[in-house]
Amino acid sequence: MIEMSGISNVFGKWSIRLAIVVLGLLIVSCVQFKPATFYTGEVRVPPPERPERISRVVEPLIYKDDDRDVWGIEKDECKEVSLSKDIVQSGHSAIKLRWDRNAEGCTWAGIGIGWDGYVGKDLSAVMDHAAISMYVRTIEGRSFGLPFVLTLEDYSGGMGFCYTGNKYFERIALDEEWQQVIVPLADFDIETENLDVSNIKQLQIELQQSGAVYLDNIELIFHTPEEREPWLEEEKLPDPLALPVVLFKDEFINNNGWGLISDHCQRFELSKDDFAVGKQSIYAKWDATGDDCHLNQFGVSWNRWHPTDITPIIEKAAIRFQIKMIQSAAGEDISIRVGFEDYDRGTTHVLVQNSHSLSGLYGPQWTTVLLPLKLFPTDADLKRIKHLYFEFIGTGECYIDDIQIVAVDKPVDQ
Amino acid sequence: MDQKKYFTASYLALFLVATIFLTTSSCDRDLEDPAGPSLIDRFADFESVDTLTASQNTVDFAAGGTVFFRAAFNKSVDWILRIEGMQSGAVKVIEGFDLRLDESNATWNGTATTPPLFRDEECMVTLSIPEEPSYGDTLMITSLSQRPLPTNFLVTDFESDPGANIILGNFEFKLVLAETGRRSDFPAVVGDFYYILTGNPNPDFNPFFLGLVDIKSSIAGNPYMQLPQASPSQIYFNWFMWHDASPHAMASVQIAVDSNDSGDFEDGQDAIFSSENNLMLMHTGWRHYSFTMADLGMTSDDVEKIVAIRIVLLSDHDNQPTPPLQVRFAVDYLTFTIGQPLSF
Amino acid sequence: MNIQIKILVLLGVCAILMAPQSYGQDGSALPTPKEEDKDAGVRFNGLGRTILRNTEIDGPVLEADPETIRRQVDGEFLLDLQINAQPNDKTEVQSILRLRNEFGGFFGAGMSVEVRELWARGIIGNAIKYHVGDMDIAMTPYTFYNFEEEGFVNNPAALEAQREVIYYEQFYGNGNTRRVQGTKLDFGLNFTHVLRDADFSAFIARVRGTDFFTIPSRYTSGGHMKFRTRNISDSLGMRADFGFNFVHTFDDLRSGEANTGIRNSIATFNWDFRLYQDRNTTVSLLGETGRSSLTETHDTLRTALFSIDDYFMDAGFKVAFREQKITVQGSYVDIGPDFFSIAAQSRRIDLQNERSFYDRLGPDQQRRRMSIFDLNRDNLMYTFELSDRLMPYDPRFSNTMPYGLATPNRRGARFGAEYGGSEDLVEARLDAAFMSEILGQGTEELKNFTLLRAAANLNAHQLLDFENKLRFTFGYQFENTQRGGVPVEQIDLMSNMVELGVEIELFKGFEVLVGGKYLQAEGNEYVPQIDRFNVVRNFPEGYEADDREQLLAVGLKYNFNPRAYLTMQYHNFQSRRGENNPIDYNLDQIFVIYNMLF
Repeated sequence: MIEMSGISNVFGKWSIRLAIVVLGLLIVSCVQFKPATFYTGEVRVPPPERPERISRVVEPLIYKDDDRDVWGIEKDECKEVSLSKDIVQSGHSAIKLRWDRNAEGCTWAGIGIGWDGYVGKDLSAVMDHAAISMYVRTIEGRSFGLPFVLTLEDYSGGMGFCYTGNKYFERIALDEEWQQVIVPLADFDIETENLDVSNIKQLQIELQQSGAVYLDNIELIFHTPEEREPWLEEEKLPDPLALPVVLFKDEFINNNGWGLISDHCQRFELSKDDFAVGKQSIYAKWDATGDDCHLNQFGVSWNRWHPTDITPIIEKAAIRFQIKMIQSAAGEDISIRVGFEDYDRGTTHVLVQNSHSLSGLYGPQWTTVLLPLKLFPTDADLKRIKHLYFEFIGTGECYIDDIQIVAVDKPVDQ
Repeated sequence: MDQKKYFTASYLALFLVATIFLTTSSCDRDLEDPAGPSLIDRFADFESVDTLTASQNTVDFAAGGTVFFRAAFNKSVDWILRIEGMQSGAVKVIEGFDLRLDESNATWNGTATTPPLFRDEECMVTLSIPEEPSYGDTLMITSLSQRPLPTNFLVTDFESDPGANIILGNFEFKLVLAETGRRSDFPAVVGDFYYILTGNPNPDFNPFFLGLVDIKSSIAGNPYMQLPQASPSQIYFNWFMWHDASPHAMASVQIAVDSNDSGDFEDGQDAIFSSENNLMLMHTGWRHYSFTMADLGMTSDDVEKIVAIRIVLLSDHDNQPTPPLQVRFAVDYLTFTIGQPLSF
Repeated sequence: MNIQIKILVLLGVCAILMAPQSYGQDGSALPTPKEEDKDAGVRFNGLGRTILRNTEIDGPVLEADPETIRRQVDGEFLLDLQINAQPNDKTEVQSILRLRNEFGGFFGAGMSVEVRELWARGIIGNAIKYHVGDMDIAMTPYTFYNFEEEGFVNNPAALEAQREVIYYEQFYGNGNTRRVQGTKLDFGLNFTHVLRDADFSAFIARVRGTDFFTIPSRYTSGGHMKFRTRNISDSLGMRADFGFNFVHTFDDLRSGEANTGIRNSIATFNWDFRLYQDRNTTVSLLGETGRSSLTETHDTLRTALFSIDDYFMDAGFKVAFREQKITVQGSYVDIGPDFFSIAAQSRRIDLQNERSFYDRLGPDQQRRRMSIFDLNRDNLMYTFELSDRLMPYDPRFSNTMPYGLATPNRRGARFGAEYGGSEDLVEARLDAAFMSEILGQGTEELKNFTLLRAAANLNAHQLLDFENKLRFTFGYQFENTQRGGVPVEQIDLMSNMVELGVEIELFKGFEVLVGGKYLQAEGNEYVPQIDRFNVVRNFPEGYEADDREQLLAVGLKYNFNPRAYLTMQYHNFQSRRGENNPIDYNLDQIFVIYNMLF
């Protein structure tokens, strides 16, 4: 038997070894099997095309004057349904309904319309294009809701439901003027009770709670849902992790800084007296030793107050700023904490120390401070950071300028 | 792109490029000739580009001279170059499939495809192409000498009088002595003489066997043939046999071994080796024959004691008419060769 | 043990080792009682088909041919009963039983019952899929690929009915699959870093049985490893997908008395490197490269009687504009003369097959040239089997790439552009290939090929606001082959093929179909006679073309529903070669097809 392998002719033994190595690596790495199924594809049934007229596929008129296919026009424990001849929207009769589901002995209230002589009606071609339109008015007064559950029932007992909330109203509320209520067929829940839309028996109007209305001209009409305009146009934000992010240089980024206030505990303000870059810096003078001095901070959001996930850059970014001390003994750590706060008020901070200074000391000259993000404890939810803050403890006086989030592998400007 | 992903992308790109490079860089195709037969050879109309010429008009084969021929065509064809000695009737045929004739494929060193051998004579050279019957080209060249044949193990070429070294066995007097013996009536293979046997079958008494001639090894100068030590399968006995196409002649060529170590050939006492089948002669003119000692069943010891060559004239009696026809053949240039049959 | 089998076993072992990590696996292929209840079931589906055809022939070719019958009536009644049993959601078996009766067969004559398809498949541990029996395999265009047949660009709907029958009979599925019988194993992995996921597949199939004497069993095995990466750059949408593909076809010399067999191996690397993607635009580099080897070996001599190897490269780009619905792509290809890939170069049309009607005509009973009529009608011309030599082809239909994308001995550029979708007013596609040979055939001069293909559909009902379908279809192919050299080497063959179709839906489901197809070919070529594998033995004779073929079709089709239709059509075909050629002929055909999937 010939044992010569064609593959070894083609790629040599290396291809086999490579395949085995790759396979081995896959096995030891963090890998999971994909769930396997027989049928991964989904057979897409194209949506039926919109017919030119609804009448081509189904009788659109559900109720107008003719009550032969209507059941439930009666008076019982729950309701009193009759035909109104004097108050009509059009034609010569409307349905007058008055019901109270809380009445004693009442278990179910409603009427049904098996329009088109109760033939099986195929709505599949219009389910995405049509709506049930009906004209409604109160018998008296105003009503902010219409507690109907419109129910389509098929000949095998399947049902589809839709509650006629006021979003379907022509106006805000029902009143004693006729108004059109349009309930799109697409809003019907046809899944729960497996409605077969190709074989509809009737439309039921289940009456909930209590009410008193006239109902007229129920029909299927074409309906295209209006596109809803968003309440607020969401602003497209720049990538908050695109380094470097300049948080302060003459002013806070997007003017989203806070805390530049002056009182008896602190004096935080923009100053043109001294600066490291640009034309002005932040002047800070503080005395937080007082009992009522609790919030000696300023800070900035660099993502327009949207939560920011800084975890992708923790390993490779740092807070960098320049500082010039006015009151501080040379060589001492300075009493400033730099921290992040998340949207649950969780904070994480680092006390600025000599080791963070590129010159090793803080004094009356501008010194660059570099705080790698990996120094910050994971006390706060770093995936939902609200802002960066500077907290001043004890007493002191300094200028701070050029606050940035930078990549740590880049050389730091002196 | 952040740095880590940058590196990942770089590695992937590098991997991609490296794979393509490795797969293709060692793949210089060694493209040979076009696939399939040449379309020109297959379909183009034939044209002669250069006519037939010879590298020289005279050639001295005895001095090792050769001559080659030139001709060229527009496509490769099956060509046949035929050289015929005008006196000897020797024929040399050179065949080939090529675009041209030149030194590499059309050189002649004086050998013959059909014996006899060319001698000092005019030779007509004809170039023909079977597929192109309308094409033909000829020229004449002169052979100044015969191409020498090897004489190391020559038994005899009958050019000199054999004396008592040839014994004629004319049994029942069926040989026609007037037409039997050393003769030069028609061109010999080499030189002028050959040995002819002619017989009239006697239908009444052993019509099959007509006569024979025993040629002793002493004709070459020694009681035994002086052959090198070699496997019997490597020792060839060669002879040329003439026949006139007359029907019913058969021949048997046999080797006599001095089995009684008398140092001479003694009929009836020494062993005779012959091939199982007799030669049925149908050809016209000279033809070369050979067999090995192993073909006759001889051993190395036998080969060392070859004392004679016996050539027997037979008649195909079963097919002879009544009265039977005369039969004949001639032999020339009896020689042993080592390793391969005689090349002439 | 063969190396493919080793790999298969290795994959299987790895899969089993990794099974404990898999999602929701229960350690067994056996279902739990609950699962058994949930998905147990036997389903009956299938296909029913009736074809009745009346074909008539006339023309000069019959004037001296009294023997050929002028009219043939044929047809069949066929029921493919598909039985699918899924005792649980991890096991499934299926068979298709075919009951067939030829038109004119009575009382059992011409009737046949056969098993058309039989397979079983299952899932091990929610992770590994296995499949045994009949299966459809497709890999890359250079490894295992059932490339499309020639002679079609955008076939009119009027001519599609018979072609659909051919596709069904030959198991031509979506994705250029080829039907084989064997076993297959698939599984996938999800990754957390860099790689998104990977798919592994391995199969082995017997593609030829032994005759127990001189023909050994032939097997094709292979598999792929496909890797998808995560976005390397989110901002650019950069991604690099790649895969390794192997196919190995070999003869089992232990079967039968044969002592020579072949080994054909193809190993390739393919990639799809997405450089950039935004909401509308995608830019990708994609391609495939690899090597093939072919050896014919002697079992006992252990020597290679024949051996070739070569490589190919196909590297290109693709740019897609989603909103504009435009896709543009191009590639450079270099496929060596000795690149040999059995499962990618075997053609669907076997010109040596005898046709089911009028295969030979005329006083000398010469074989008819293949025509556009035959391509549309005759199932017997088609095959899905693998050929171990480059099959004959007709240069009038396809000369640039007669063996698909993997056609050997080609170098050049291919381009393509697409516009629109099937529901748009206009859907169009344009393809071009500018290729040349790498190694001359019978000469050192190289052939140059130009191929243009254009297809368009116009959904005119959108333009006219016509409520039913009104659709015009168009297809065009231009092919030109040129070679220089001395006159006997020169080649100049040009062919044009035009397809026009109209589909008018008079009312829902009822369509009037009109179609036409025209082929014109003129010039000369030499079609090599392949001895074995890819060895050119000879050029039997110069191929001369001065052909005009015209096929017109008109018919009615009623779609009872998307799965059942009835169509009745009339086709008229004319074959003309040169002027007043005595071998010209005409064919007229009327047929009815009722086709139902259930």
